[in-house]
Amino acid sequence: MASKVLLDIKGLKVYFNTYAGVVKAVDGVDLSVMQGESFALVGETGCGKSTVARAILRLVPPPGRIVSGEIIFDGRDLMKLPESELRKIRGSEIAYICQDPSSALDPLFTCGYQIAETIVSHNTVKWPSAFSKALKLLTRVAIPEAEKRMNSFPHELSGGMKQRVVISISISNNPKLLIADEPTTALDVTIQAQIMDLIMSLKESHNMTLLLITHNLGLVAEYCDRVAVMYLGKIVEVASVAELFERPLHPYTQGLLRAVPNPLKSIDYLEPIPGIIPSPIDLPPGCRFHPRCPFAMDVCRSREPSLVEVEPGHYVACWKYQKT
Amino acid sequence: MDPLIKVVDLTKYFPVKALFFTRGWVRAVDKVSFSIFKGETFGLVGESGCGKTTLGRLLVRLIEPTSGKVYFNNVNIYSLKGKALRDFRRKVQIVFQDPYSSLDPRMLVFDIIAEAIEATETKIPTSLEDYIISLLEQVGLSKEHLYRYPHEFSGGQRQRIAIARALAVNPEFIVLDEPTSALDVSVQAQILNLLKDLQREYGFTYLFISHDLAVVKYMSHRIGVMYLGKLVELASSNEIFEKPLHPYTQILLSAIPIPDPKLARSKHRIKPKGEPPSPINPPPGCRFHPRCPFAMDVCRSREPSLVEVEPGHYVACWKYQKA
Repeated sequence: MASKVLLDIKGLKVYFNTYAGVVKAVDGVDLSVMQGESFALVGETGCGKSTVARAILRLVPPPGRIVSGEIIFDGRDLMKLPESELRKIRGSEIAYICQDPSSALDPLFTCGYQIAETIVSHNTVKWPSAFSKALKLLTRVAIPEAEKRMNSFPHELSGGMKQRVVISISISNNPKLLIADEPTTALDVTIQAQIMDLIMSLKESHNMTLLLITHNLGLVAEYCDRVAVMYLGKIVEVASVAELFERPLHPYTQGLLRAVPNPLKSIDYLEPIPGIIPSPIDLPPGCRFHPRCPFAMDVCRSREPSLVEVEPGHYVACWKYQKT
Repeated sequence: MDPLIKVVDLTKYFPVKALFFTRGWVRAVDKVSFSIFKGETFGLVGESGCGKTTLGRLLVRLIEPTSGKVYFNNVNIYSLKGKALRDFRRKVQIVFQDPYSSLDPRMLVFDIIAEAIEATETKIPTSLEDYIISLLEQVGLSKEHLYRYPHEFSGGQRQRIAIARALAVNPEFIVLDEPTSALDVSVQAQILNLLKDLQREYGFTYLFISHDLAVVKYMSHRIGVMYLGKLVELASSNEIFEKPLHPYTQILLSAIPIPDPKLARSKHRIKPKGEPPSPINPPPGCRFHPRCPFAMDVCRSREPSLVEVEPGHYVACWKYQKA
C-alpha cells in the first residue's frame, strides 16, 4: 500500500439548523485516506457518514452548512477553493456514486448522453468522440448490448443496470478518488456481489482510491483495507479491517459486531446493543455512547474522549484505553 | 408432527393492464406447495420480486389466490365465511415490513391495539387498559407509551407496537414480513431476540420472510428458497447452509458478504450471471436456467418439480432427478 495521504480531513463539522434545534450531523471528524487503498466508513442510520461524503465535495444540502474544518485533497484545501475550481474537481478528480441510482440519472436523457455529457464538460473533446468513449465505458462496466443501451432511457433499465451506468459516469474522467455512498443498498444480494466486484476491478484498473460508505459490515470485511466506525457524528474507532474484526476496542464496535448475524456460524442468541440511538439534537454529554455502554464510567458521563492511537494504526476514542 | 398449515398448489397471478385490456400476467406465486409445522419458524428467502410477500399475504388471506388451497388446522381457509372467517382472522396475524406505514398516524397506541381486540372480539382477562399495558411490557415498551402517537417513536419502537398489536388477539400463527429490513443492525438484533423469546413463551408458529439470509438462518428451523414465484429448495436451516443443492441457493449463499475478513476472503465464490428475468414472461423450462452455470438441455424445455432428494430436503432441479 502506498503511504501517501490522498485525502486528509481535519476537524470537519457540519451542522444543520432546523426548527427543532441544531443537528450536529458531523461534529469534529478527522480522517485520512491513503492513496490506492479502499477505506470504509461504517455506521448506522443518522450517524453522519453520508454527510461526511457530501462535505468532501462541498455538496451539503441546505439547511446544512460546513461550520469548520479542512479537507485536503491531493495537496489542496477544498474548503478554500473557489466554486469554479471545485467544479473542475467534482466528477473528474473525485467521483461520487450515490445510493439510489434512479435519482442519480436524469429521466429525460439517454444513458449514452449522460455519460458523454460528463466527459465533454471536463475535457476538451467534442461530442462525437465523447459518445464513442461512452460506449467503451458501458462495455467496460459489463452492460449487455451496450450499443443498444446507449440510447436507452434510465426507466428502461433495472436497478443494477442503472447503477452500472452511474458507475460508468463516475469513472469517465479517471478520478483519483471514488466515493461510493451505499452503492448497493438498493440492490439484491446477487446484484450487490456483481456491482461490488465491478467497483473493485475498476479500482485496480484505474488506480483509484475507494472511500466506501456503508452500514453493511459484511461488505467491509470482504472488500476494504481500513475502516472507520462512526457513531452520532464522531469517529469512534479507526483500524485495519483485519484488526477491527479481530480485536475491536470501542464498546460500540464490539456491540455492532456481535449484533450482526454471521451466516456461516450457528448462533443461538444475538447480543443486541441496549437502548436506542439518542436524538442528534439533544446529544448526551461526555462520550456520546455512554448511555448505551456496558462499561460506562464516571468520566464518560462528563468528558468527551478524543481519538488516540493506542496501537500502531489502531485509533480509538474511549476512556477505557486512555488516562483521563 | 401435524402440519399447522398445508399449502397445496397455491397460485397467484396479477394482471398487467394496459388501458382496458389485460396485457399479461405476473406470475407472483406459481404452484407452490409446502407445510408449516406447529411451533416452528419457517423462513422464506428470495430476492425482490420473487413473490415471497405475496405468498405471506395469501397465507393470512389478505388476498385471494388464483388457484390452490391453504389448509389451516385441516380447513381450507379460502372456503371460510362469516363467523368461521372471523375466527380465522383472530388466529393468524401479520407484521409488516415498514413500521412507518403499518400504524395509523392519527391513532394513539392504545387505540391501535384496542382496535385489533375489538374487531376480532377477543376475550381478555382484565380491563382493556391493563391488558394493553401488559402487552406493551411484553414487547419492551411501558405504560408511559400508551397515549402517544406513532410519530413519537423510533422505527424499532414502532415495530414493537406492531408486534404488540399482533399478540393482542392471542394468535397461533404470525406472518413476519421482513420485520427488520427497515431497522439498523443494533435494533434489528433486539427485535429478532424479542420474536424468539415470544415464540418460546407462547409457542407461536412463524412464517419469517426476509431477503437477508443471515437473519433467516438465525430465526428459522426450516427454510424455503423462492425464485420467480417458485419454491426451488426447502430444507432445515443448517442443511440449506451446509449443503445447498439448488444452484440458485448456492449462488445466493456465496453472494452474502460475511462479516469476518478471514472467512470472507477464503470462501469459494460462485459468480452469478445476469439479472432475474421479468416475472411477466418467465423463461420456459426451469426459470433459473438463463442464469444457471450448470444448465442442461432439459432445463431449457421442461420445468423441474420439487422432489425430496434426501429426508426433509426438497429441491426443484434437474441435476438431482431423472428427466
